[in-house]
Amino acid sequence: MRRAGWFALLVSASALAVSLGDTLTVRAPNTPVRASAKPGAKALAVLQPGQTVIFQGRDEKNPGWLQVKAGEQEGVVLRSAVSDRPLQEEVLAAGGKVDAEAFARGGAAKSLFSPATAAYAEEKVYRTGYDQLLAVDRLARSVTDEDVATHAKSAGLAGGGR
Amino acid sequence: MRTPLRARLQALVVLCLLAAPACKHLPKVPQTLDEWLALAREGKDLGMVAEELARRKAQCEAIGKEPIAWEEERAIGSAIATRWIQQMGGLVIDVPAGKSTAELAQLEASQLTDGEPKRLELALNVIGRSLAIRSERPALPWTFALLDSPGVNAYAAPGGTVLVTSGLLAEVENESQLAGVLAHEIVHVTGRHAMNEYRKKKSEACSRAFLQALSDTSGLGPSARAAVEQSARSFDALLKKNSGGFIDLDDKTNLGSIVVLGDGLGDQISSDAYSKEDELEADRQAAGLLVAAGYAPKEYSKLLAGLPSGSGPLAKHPPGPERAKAVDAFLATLSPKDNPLGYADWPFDARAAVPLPPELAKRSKAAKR
Repeated sequence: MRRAGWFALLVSASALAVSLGDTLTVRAPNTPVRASAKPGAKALAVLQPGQTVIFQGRDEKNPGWLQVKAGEQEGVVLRSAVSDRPLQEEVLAAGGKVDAEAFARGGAAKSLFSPATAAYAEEKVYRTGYDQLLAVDRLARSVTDEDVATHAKSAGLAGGGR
Repeated sequence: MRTPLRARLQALVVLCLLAAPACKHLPKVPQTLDEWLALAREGKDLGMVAEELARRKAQCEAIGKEPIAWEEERAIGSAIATRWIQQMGGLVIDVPAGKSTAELAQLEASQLTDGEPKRLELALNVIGRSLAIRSERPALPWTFALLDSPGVNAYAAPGGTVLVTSGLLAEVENESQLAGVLAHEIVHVTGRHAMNEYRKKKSEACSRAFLQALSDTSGLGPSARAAVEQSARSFDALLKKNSGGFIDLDDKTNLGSIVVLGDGLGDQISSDAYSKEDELEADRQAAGLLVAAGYAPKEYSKLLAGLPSGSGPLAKHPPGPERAKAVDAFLATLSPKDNPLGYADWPFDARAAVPLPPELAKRSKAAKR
């Protein structure tokens, strides 16, 4: 009974999946639309969170990738980099509410450091904490979504490179 | 409804313009904060001052409802993260010796000292990023780091810095469980749980500044009174800007606000949990992120069920078994519509726990001793 229930769920899962022509929202910063389903394949476009692509199908041989159309370009993106759900709006001091795409493009989110952080660390004599945060920030910024996909594949995670 | 005294006085002033001789003894309605402060110092027209105080309190409450701008969140968050790292034993990382802070900021990751700490922090960031890009705020500069601290805890600073203690790393049996902890902290950031507390603190600080300045300050010495009045002037300027209460913390003249508001918030987060509702919500959404990232979410509830009561915020979280039960109940509600991109192994009960990457496994084992 339990097995039959799961089977029914699986069947209905495919029925409720996104359909050809549906819009997907990019979640990961600097998401490449690649010519083929390989991490190093030619990047036809690079998209930012909040930008959208049109779903054109799954790549049965490479289930970690989806076939999409981004503007005039047709290629593939990592499945983990897109979603069928919209992202939160952000608020910028100068621009008020902005969508995720404008936020990602604006550059304000490229660093976790505010111009005030150094002054704060100096005022509080937190040099060690500040320098260590700087160092780990350098490492965090170096991690790419393809590193994530590679890890997902080697770890056997469903959402990444498999 | 009773017309406020201030409005009645203003109406009287208009009448006085028409019949000036009859109104010689009406109190003048102050127009600026300094005029109000003078009135309060003299102890005159206290009813009018009280109404002004109520009006300003309402303005302060209004800024407490405004969303916080990213720049303000980032300034507060990076200050809190710096403070936590400094005070909680530091990160597991080698910082190149002899470099100035400015030089460090310019370094590429490849220029940082190679070794186990670097590999370990990179592995943690790969796991963290795999979850963060599936969150509602994927574009934040997410940063994950291991604190060299034996306590069993994890912390999220506004803006996207997540810290896990080596004590907690010792408690996890596999990567799936560690991912659950990171996901829980990610949700505190995407849910702006700390920023909601910050808004309250800012609003309260604003009300308190006017209350102190417009109350009887005769008991204060000159410097204390000057400080109280200066604080009120700062909030007066903030309210006049009509900018939704945005404090430009990147302006060095506002450094004091980071120290007062940021330190207070950081200490509150690190010593208390969020509300029970926020904590349980973070657990549920964390389970959702685990599902989306391909992890076995039941591993997270298993970890929660067996967590020690701990110290600091963990001790103030809802009990582990209650949290685990809430996560399992949430997972039971997931349906095919939660798998729109057609992940092949949906449903996810068959997913196996993912072992920790070697660097993290080694550290976890060492921390267990």
